[in-house]
Amino acid sequence: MRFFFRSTRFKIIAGITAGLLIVAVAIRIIGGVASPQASVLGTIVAPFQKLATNISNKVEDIKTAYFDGQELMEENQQLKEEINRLTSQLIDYQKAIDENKFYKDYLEIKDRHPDFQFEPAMLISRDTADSYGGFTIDKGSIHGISAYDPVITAEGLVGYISEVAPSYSKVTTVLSPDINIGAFDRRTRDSGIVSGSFELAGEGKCRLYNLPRTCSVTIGDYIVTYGGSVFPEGLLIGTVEDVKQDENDISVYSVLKPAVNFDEIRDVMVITYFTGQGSSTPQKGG
Amino acid sequence: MQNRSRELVHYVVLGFLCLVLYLIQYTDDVLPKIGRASAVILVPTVVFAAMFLREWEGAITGLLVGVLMDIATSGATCFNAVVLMLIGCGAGLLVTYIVNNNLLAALIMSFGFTAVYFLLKWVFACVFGVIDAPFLYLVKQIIPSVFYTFVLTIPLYLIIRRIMKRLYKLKS
Repeated sequence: MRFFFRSTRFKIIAGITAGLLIVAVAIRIIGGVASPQASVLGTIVAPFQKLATNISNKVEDIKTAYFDGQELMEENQQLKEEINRLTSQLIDYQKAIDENKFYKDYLEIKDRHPDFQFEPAMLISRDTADSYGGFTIDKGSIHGISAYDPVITAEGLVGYISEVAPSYSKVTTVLSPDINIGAFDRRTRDSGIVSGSFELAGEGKCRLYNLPRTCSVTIGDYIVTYGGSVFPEGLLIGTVEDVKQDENDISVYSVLKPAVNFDEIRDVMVITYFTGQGSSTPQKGG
Repeated sequence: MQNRSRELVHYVVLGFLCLVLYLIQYTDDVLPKIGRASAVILVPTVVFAAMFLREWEGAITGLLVGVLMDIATSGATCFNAVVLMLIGCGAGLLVTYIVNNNLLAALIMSFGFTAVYFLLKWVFACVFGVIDAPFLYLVKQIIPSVFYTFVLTIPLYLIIRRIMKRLYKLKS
C-alpha cells in the first residue's frame, strides 16, 4: 500500500481533492451557482433526467388510469376493449385538461400581477435524501433564471432558486430552514417570518414565527408573502393549522400547511422578474 | 488495438450502469422513501465497482458518480465528489492489499463505507448549519438510511459482479 501513496496517481487524487475543496469554498462564498464540473456534467445528463422523469410520470399516469379502468371492467366485461381504448384516450384527455388548467391558473396570476415574467419549468430530479423536499428543474441561466428567483405553482409559493447552472437549477422549498420569508396573515395583517424546520418538514409543514403575543392569528387563516426584493407581495404560502407559544421567547408561532403539495409537484413557474426585485438573499427577510 | 477497444467497451458499460443507477436514484417516485429514510444506491455501486477495478479506477468512478450526485443534491457543492472519490480509492486499496473480493467482504465494505458516507453527511450538515435538529436528523434519517441502503446492496452486488465478470471474459 505504501507504493500507492508514493505514486503519481495518489498525488493526482490528492490534487483533485484539494482542487474540489477550493471550488467548494469559493462557491460557498459566491453562493447561488453550481460548481463548474457539475454544470458541465449536468448539461450532459439533464436530457436523460428529463426522459427518465417523463417515463416515470407516464407510468404513474398509466397506473392511475389502469386502476380506474379496472372498476369499469368488473362492471362490464364485454366492454373491456372499449374501456381500454377509452382509458388510453382519457390519459391524453386528462393530460390536456391538466395542462389547460395549469396555464389558465398561471394566467390568472399573471392578470393579477402584470409585472411578473414567468419561465415554465419541469421537475427533472428529486433528492429523496433531502429532508426539505428540494428538487432540480430543467431550466437554468440560459433560460433567464437567476439565483433567488421565486418558484411557484398555481396553488402557491414553492420556494426559490438556490443554485443555478446553465441548463438546470436547484429549488429550495419553504420547508427548509435556509429560507426566511417575510409574510403576513391576510385577515389580521399580523406579520412574521416563514421558515422550515426538520421536525415540521417531515409532516410537510413549515412555521410562521416572530408573531407578537397579542396577534390574533387563528386556524384557517391564509398567510401570504409580505413582498420585498426576493419575493413579490401577495403570493399564497399556506394556511394556519395551529398557533403555539415559542419555547425560546415570549413570541408565538403558527404551524402552516403549505398551499403546495410538494410530493406532487411536476411543473412549476419561475418568476424571473417582478417590480422591486433585487439581488439580496432570502435570509435577509424576503 | 482489439484489447483497447474491449477495454473501452468495459468502461462505457460501467458508465452506462452508473447513469442508469443515478436516474433510478434521483427520478421522482422510483426509489420510495420509508419514513424519512432514503436509499443512496450510488455509494455501494462505487464500492463494488472499485472492488473489481482497484484503487485508481475506483477513485475516478467515485469522482464521476460524486459529481453526478452533486448535480441533484441540494447544498452539497463538491461534497459527494470528494467523499465518493475517497471511498472508491479506499475500497480499491482494501481489495488490493487487505481483503478478498467476495460477497461477504463486499457486504461488510458496502455497509462500512455507506455508514461513513452518511456520517460525513451528518457532520457536514451540522457544521454548515443545514440542519436545525442534528440529533433528530441522525436518529430519524441518517441511521435508517444506512440500513435501507444496505438492504438494496445484495442485488446490486450480484448485478455488478455479473457485469464485471462478463466484461473480464470479454477482455481476456
